[in-house]
Amino acid sequence: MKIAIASGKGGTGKTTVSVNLSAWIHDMTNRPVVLVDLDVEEPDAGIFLHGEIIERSVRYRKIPRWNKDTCILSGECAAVCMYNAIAFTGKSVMVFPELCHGCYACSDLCPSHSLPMVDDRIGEITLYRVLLPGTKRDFLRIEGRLDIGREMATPMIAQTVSFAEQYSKDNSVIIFDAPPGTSCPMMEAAKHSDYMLLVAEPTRFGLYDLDLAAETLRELQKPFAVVINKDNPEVNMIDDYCRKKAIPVIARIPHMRQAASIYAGGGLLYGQIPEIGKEMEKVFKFLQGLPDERIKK
Amino acid sequence: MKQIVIISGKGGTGKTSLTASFAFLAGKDAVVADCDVDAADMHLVTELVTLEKKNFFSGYEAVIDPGMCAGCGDCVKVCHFDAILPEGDVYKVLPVECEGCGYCARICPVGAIEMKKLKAGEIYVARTRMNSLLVHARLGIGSDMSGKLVAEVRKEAKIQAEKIKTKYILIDGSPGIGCPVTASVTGTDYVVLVTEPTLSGIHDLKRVIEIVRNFDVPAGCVINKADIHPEMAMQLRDFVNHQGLDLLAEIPYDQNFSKAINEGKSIVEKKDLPVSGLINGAWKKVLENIS
Repeated sequence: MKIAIASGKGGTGKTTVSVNLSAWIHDMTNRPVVLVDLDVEEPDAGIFLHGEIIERSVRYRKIPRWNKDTCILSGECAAVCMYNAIAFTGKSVMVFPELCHGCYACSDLCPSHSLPMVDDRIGEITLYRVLLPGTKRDFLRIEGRLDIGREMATPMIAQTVSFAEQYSKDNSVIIFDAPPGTSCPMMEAAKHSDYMLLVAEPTRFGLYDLDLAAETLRELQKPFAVVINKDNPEVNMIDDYCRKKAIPVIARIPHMRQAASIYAGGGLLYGQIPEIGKEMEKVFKFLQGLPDERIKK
Repeated sequence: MKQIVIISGKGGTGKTSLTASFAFLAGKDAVVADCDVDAADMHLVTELVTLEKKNFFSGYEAVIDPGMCAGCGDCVKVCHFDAILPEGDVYKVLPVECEGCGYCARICPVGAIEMKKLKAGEIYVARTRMNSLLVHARLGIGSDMSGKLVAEVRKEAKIQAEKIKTKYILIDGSPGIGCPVTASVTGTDYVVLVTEPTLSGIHDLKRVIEIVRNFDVPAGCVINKADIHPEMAMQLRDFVNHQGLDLLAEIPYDQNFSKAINEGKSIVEKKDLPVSGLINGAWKKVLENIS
């Protein structure tokens, strides 16, 4: 089962649900769990789940590098680049890596082969063994971390997902902590999951951003359900919206100052707040009850 | 004219609530630019009259004409984004995967591939109930052009601000550490960082501050939900001091933030609240620091 946890708006509790659900599932069912942090710009799951590093590797993507000794100054590279990532001055060629999408067109089409594709560091992937607090049991956490100032989150996410696949067994529960928003990074995380959970908070901001995320998932034809965080029994706007759009609301995490303060210190909630444990159980039972065979597994 | 950007690194720290409050306090002196284009929520806290709407085009998408396609499959071989699939005897492009690089169109031996310009989003200029202007945008689904859209929103805000000669442009910046946040911060006169005393808040603040340091721009910090974890609050204050940031305000945890949002107001409009005074104080400090 591959479940991505996302939200249109940042700060709604996506990471809170990811870490608590992962730990709860392993704690209560003993299933192998792999939590994959795909929020590569701000990977925060590790704040709540400590463990030892098993493996760390630097990650690269490919970008062109100008070889001035062989270049015949045709200007073809700049002409083919749709991203303005190459400037041709007539006497030299300049590559702007932050604009490059790695399409290889300039490199392959250069008549003198003077733009070989070379490694460009984008970040690191780390595999951790997480010790479940108070037990001797452990599960895996994989973190993709984009270098600061790098702008290509999507290739980093794709590499983190394929890395995670090596460490997943047939019966593993794989949880992706997806990037927020509705643009390419979130869609990349969605692409690799069987089912999505959108975490939403009952404010007008939360509702508007939920609507954007829901529209995006509909476009991708990705099935999903909603988890309400910071639930306020007096405000029904998320329920009303989900009823109208026929989206299941499968759990609601109450708005509690105690939860905010445990979160602040990097703690897990379900052990200390039994109501939240019950909500995690509801989420897991719902996922197990889905008709999709891949998810049941 | 001075440009002030409000950013947070981490989502949910109260960035938009604070920007809306500053916008209310500045009134007609400011044009507001909502550059959180992925989750542009500023328009939800003020009724708006839209004055102008513009389409924003950016990037391309390959389209294969099935009538012309010879089925040679050369396009599939050059595509590094796995965006082309066979369909019967011909090929088709998966729009979601296509990065618009144009490589396939360039090498197609029969010229069956056209690069279609994509609408990336819409930009709006609107009048708020404070009688000030708000420039906001909506990004098309799955568009990867948010950095460029941020630049477009800011350009439009600047044109408007110059036209009506306002003192400030207030920018609700983008989250994260990528291109959109860089595009939000570049060329501003002051950066307001909104954070919270949580481990995640501190972690994300440390990352985003490295972006801010690329620019020679003064910055200050608002600590929101300052009382939810005294120990973390202490760590955060130390970090703020150490970084030489102005501490603009410490605002206690207050459920009135979400109440105000749900009433379509900025929190400073609820005048009897202690937090309103604190935000007022923060705004005054920002103005002192840029004058």
